[in-house]
Amino acid sequence: MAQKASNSRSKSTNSRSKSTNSRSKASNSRGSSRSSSNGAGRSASQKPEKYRFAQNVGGDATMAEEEYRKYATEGDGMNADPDVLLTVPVVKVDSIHLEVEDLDARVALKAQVLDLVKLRVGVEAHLGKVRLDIKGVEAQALLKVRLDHVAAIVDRVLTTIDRNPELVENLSQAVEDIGWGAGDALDDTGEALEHVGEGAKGAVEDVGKGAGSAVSDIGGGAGEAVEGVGEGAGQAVGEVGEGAGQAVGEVGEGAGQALGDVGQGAGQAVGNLDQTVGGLGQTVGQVGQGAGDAVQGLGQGVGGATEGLGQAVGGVGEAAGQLGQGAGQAAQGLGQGVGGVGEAAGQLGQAAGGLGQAAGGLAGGGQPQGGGQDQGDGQQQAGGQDQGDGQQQGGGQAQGGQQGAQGNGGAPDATSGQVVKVVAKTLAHEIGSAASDEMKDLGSAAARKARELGERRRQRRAEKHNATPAAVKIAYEEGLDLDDIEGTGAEGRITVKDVRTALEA
Amino acid sequence: MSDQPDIELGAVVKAKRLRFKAKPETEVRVHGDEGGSGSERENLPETVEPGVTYRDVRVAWRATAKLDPERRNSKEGKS
Repeated sequence: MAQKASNSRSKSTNSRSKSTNSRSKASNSRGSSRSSSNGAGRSASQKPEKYRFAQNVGGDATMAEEEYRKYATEGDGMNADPDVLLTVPVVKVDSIHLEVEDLDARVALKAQVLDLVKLRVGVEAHLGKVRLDIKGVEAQALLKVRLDHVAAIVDRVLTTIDRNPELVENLSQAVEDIGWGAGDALDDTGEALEHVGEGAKGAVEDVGKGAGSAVSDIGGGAGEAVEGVGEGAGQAVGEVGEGAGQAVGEVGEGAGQALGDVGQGAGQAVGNLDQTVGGLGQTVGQVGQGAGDAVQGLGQGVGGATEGLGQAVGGVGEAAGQLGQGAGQAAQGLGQGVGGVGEAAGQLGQAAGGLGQAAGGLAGGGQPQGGGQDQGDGQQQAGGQDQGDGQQQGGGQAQGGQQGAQGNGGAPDATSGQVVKVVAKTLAHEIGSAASDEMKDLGSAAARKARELGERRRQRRAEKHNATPAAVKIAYEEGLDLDDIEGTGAEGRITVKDVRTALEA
Repeated sequence: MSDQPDIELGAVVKAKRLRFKAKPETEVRVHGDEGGSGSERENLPETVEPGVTYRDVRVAWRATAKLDPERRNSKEGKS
């Protein structure tokens, strides 16, 4: 049995209420009126006058108290008190501005026994639209709910069921029927699903068969296609083989011809080899001459720088020039064989080594490698001897170098002193040049600065005397005082014309 | 069995001044076998007029609803 003792629900839309300076006493909800009015606390009527707002009811008790007394004294004693009592003893509000629209208030009692009995008793109030102003309000509310009738009805229903259990059986049978119906429905659903499954299975099988056939057809077509491809490929490969054979044959022919040409060319090249070697001899000879000229030029240059060493290096240059001649002769001698060229080249290398030693000695400050110093303190005759040696053997440089080596320690101090002098002289010259250039630059900068300062000074004077810069310049040059000149330009500005007029005056 | 209602809702309102700005729209419905609603009024007519200020008003409103098991029994017996 489901039983709801009280059900209070309200629904309000678009409702507004406004109260000012309101006071209210607390509401009081009690499950039993007996416990509420017989409690230890004072009743409203027992309170002092200033707290007794509920004077709207005659007698010495409030409405709730009177109602309770009435309930307590009335009835058959078994049902004197309500089962639920909700009291709002008193609410006092000085002023209320109330606007209500569509307000629903409902108090109901519901009871239900299975689906056999449904009870509903209550009061529902609906306020469609209320707008009022009320002042000096005292209000009380009271709700009573009795469950005797509900309990009696429910008791009767249960008694009836007790006496007539078939009602419950029928009720259960009805539920069972519902269950069977549901079961049948589920069975039918299962069968339907089974049929659906069979259909789906058949469809899948058909799809499988179709797919299999399609795959088979595809396989057959692919096999045929592959066969066709194989045939085409075989033909293509055969054709390629033929083409390749032809190409290789042609390549062979071309290669044969090329080799033939190469052979001819090689023969010609070999035939020209003697000529080439002869030309090589000439070339080597020319190289020797060129080297001789270069070294000679070097010797002259160095000789120009240092007197003593210049003579010695000049001898070396002559020796080198003769080396070229000797090398040419050697190359000619080797025109019959390449081996002779190698020897000549080796001798040329030796000669170059000697020359390198001589040059190294020069750079080292007159070290004893000087080629001809040992033969007369750097006299030119020393080169003559080398020259003679070079002419006789075509490789006299080597001897010259050896002789130079033999002349270690010959008058080195005089040579180094001359070099130092030359170096000092050169440095002084270079420093002097650099200093001169620097002074020139400084002088130019100073002159430029002076001009700029002069321009600024004239501008300041022009601004001070209200004159043009040109007029200021002329006046300054001529010794005129601008204060004595009257300007005729714009706003009395002194111009060149004014200055010249003043000069003429 | 008592004849008292199963649901009884009552309210007493006393006001020094009461004025309706518009004609109120109210409705009371009772659910049950028996019941009804009514009010006892002092200085307030059954039908109020908007804009009129009523003074020293007192309204005791009461609504009841009741189940009648005997009548239900008779209904069941008839059916």
